[in-house]
Amino acid sequence: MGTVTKLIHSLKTYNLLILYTIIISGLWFYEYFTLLFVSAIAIIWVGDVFRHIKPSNESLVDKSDGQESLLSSVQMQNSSYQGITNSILDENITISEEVERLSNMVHEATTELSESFSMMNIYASEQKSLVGAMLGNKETDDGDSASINDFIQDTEGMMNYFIETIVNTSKESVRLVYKLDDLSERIVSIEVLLKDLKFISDQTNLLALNASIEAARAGEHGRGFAVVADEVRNLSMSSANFSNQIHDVVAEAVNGISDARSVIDAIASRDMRFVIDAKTKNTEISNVIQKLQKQADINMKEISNIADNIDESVSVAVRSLQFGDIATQLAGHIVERTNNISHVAGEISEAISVSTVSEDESELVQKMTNIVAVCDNGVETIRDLKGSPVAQEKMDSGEIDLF
Amino acid sequence: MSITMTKDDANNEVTIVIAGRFDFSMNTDFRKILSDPDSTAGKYVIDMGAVEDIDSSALGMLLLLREKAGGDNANIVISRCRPDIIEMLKMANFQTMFKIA
Repeated sequence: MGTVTKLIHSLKTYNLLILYTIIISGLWFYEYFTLLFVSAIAIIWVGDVFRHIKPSNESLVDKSDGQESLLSSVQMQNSSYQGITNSILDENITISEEVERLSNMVHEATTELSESFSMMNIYASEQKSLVGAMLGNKETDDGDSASINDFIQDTEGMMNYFIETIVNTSKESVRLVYKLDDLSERIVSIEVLLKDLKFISDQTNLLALNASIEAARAGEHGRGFAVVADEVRNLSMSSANFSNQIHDVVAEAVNGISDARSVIDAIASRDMRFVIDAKTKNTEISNVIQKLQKQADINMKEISNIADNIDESVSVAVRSLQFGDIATQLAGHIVERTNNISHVAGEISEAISVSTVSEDESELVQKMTNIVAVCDNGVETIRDLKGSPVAQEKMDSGEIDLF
Repeated sequence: MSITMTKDDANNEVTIVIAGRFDFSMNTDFRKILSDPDSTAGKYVIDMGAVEDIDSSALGMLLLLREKAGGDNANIVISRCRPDIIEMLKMANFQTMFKIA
């Protein structure tokens, strides 16, 4: 429309000139005069028609009377425009600041959340390791876990050894008793021999007595015999004495053997039921520990799964926090847009504020034209922004999008 | 408490029946059987049906019998034993040395 108004302006100024030229040339070229004259009329008429559809500002400016009130109206309008553009600028500044704040908040929050989630992951991992160590899980490469089972096995082995020792001791003890029995028999046979000896010494004594009597009967001749008889009697009494002593010693030996038997009885008689209880308890403990171990393995697997689930959840959370990046970008775009709007508003404001001291209509027209141009430009500028929105609308799992 | 022996010459088998408490006090009677020339046989059956209780000396005596019967080649069956007594025998690993029926 700018070029059209210029054309109209030209037409207005020059159509009189054209008319003049036509008239002059008509005087020289009579034949073509009529044709030219008609053309001129046409041009004037067209010019008139165009005049009616000129922008209102120009038509306002064209009328000389009321031109002053029109000018002041224009000026009022312009100051309104100025007011609006200033409001837009102020508002845009506020929008920018708020968007900036929002963007910062989001960034801070997402950073903190991200760190927090990462820490959670680390803690979950640590927990898993600790529990593993505690349960003595073989997977955790811990030497202690094997030793509990070894301990139980060793205990069982020790018990078997002790049982074997007890039974063996009993066996040898019984064998020892049998040996003592044999000894006893020997000693008993001494007693028998002593009996015979006693009989012999008793008989010897009797004979000696008889000999003494016979010797007394023989008188003088028997004296020597009497002495012999007495000696024999002494001998037999000695023998009896020794016999008794042997008998006493034997009796002591028999007692000794009897005592020994009692001692061996005590050694050989070991209660086996107590050992059964101990062994049974050991087996029970072993079973309980195996059960606990199995349960611990199951629990450990559970904990492992949970730790993996936490890991996954944390990954999802961290991925979701990527919205922070998008938010920041969107915020940037918003600020950019508002900046553009401010820029356009600024240009309009500037165009409006060029002071019109003179009321020269051409200057005013120029100014209006300029304002229109600036507005048109602004519309185009803003339209151009529409072509670059942030395309990403939702986060898909498993993708990390790079902006 | 008592211990008696019967010999089955046809099958070369000796049966020893023990009753009551089988402990150290039985050692003399047990020896009589051990040293009895008739008691030498190819197979031994020890009837423990009437045995109320045993202690380690009983196990020792059984081992002495096993020695007499040929040690590792011995063929000895312990029969009709009560379950709790069988447990004691098993604890001493007797099932590897005697047949427990």
